[in-house]
Amino acid sequence: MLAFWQDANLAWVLTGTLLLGISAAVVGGFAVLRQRALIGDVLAHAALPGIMVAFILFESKAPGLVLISALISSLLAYYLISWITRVSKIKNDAAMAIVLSLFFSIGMMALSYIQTLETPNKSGLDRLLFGQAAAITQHDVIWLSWVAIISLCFIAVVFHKLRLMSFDPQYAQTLGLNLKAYELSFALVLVLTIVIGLQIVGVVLMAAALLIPITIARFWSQSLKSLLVIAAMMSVISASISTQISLMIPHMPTGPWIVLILGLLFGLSWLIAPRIQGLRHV
Amino acid sequence: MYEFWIFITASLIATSCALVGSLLILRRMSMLGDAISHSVLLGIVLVFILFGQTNVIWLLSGAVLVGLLTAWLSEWIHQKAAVPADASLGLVFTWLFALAIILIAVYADHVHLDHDHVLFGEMAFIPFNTLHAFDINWGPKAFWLSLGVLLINLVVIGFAFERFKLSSFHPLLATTLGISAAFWHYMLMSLVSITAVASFDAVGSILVVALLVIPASTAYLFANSLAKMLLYSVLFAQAAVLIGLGLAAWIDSALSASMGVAAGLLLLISLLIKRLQQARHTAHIASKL
Repeated sequence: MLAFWQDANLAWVLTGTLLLGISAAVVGGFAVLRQRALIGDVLAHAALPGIMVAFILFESKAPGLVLISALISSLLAYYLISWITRVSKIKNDAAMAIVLSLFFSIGMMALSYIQTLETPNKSGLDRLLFGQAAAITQHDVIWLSWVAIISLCFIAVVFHKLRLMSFDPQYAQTLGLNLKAYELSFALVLVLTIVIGLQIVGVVLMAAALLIPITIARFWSQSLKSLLVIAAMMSVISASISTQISLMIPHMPTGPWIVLILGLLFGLSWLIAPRIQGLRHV
Repeated sequence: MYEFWIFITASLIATSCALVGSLLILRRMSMLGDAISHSVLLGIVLVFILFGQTNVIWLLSGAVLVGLLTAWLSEWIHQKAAVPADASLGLVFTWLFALAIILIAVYADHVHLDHDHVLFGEMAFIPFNTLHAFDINWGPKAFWLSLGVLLINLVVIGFAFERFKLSSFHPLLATTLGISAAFWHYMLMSLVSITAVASFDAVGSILVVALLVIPASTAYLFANSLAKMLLYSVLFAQAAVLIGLGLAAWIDSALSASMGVAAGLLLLISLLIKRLQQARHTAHIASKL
């Protein structure tokens, strides 16, 4: 463990994955409880066209530009899903799959167009979606900390309203809550977490980081507050173990290990939780 | 001849995808295509590591098995652990995908996989990979593979049409009548796995996900029976392939991505037409009052 803290780079990787894991678990927790477990997967894919179109327009892949264009594109996807389910009889799951494949197709179309251009520094554009946790730098961690702090503060401040909006929207409306504003701010926080995370752990693993922790927590608790706390704890455990594994075995990617350990924690909780809760009731 | 092979192969794949996709969205399992498209990576990696095979038939079998495993495991966790269906699907496919990536990292010296190829496919190369037997050039392998998959789909859906219909719309009634809902569920899962995996190689996973859900959803807007929905979805899929080909030729973009975009545009236009019809209908009723 001592050697661990002597390695500055690994300390950054650990801090980064911990922060990302905690905010993904909490923000994703809300998304899953609102029956949109795969929204992370959809929005992460939907970032692609934004990044590509921004590159065509500005011929740059500066981190700020990538972040903003990905944000806009994913937000658009979020609202398109809501729009499709509102105006037609198409169900939520189909709307998500439609938006995912449509946005990703647009992105790939733009990418193939970019490859015919004579622009320099276009290489590595498609790599933005696959993520590289081992390459986390101090700079990334500062970004991540801000996103994590903003998301967690947001959730803490509007916790009660968010809970009401998620589980009893009609009642929330009769109370005069501005549902649209809360919906937009929740979407922003969700999309921000996804877009930052996907550059570090990639699309698929980002989806997992959002949905698995809360799914594990459901074995252990019923109340929303403790669900979110347990989900964050699960993220912390898996992030710590997986960083330790990448320290011990060279060339081992951190992101997939996080998901693998989360999966094992799920299996373990499934086996143990009912027994422990059974004991409590006796 | 070159464009012809691409068109006919894409068209066969689109038909298969539209047919199984219609049954998929009626069961609210639209994200299964996306899930399988990621988890099949594990099947390919395992075949590679365990048997050292790069033969297409081996890779396809491995991929289909893992596709089935994805569908089966997520259904099992959903039912036994009382986890919502979408969450259990997400759990299973991301876990299998993560396992595949770790295996690739462990066996990095032995595995040479082109992940891009799985993801994007390469339709422009379809006509070059041809089947030779008895000294005759039988045309592209991808064509024969997609024809075979379409025949399987047609035979199974044609034979079991009433059973699929009943177990999609009235699962309880189906069970009462002695039709095993579970059997037909796993039969559909198998069809989806076979169709998806066979199509990934030719057109890439993105287009498969698009073709599975978008034409079927467009058809769902207009159809009032399962038979009509299947018919319309096939028609919309063909239109998407044709428009996509045109689009790709026009702006020189990737074929599969253009077809996906074309399918999406057709859906959005249909949605707008539906909206207009509704608005006119409401105005018509209002004028009578």
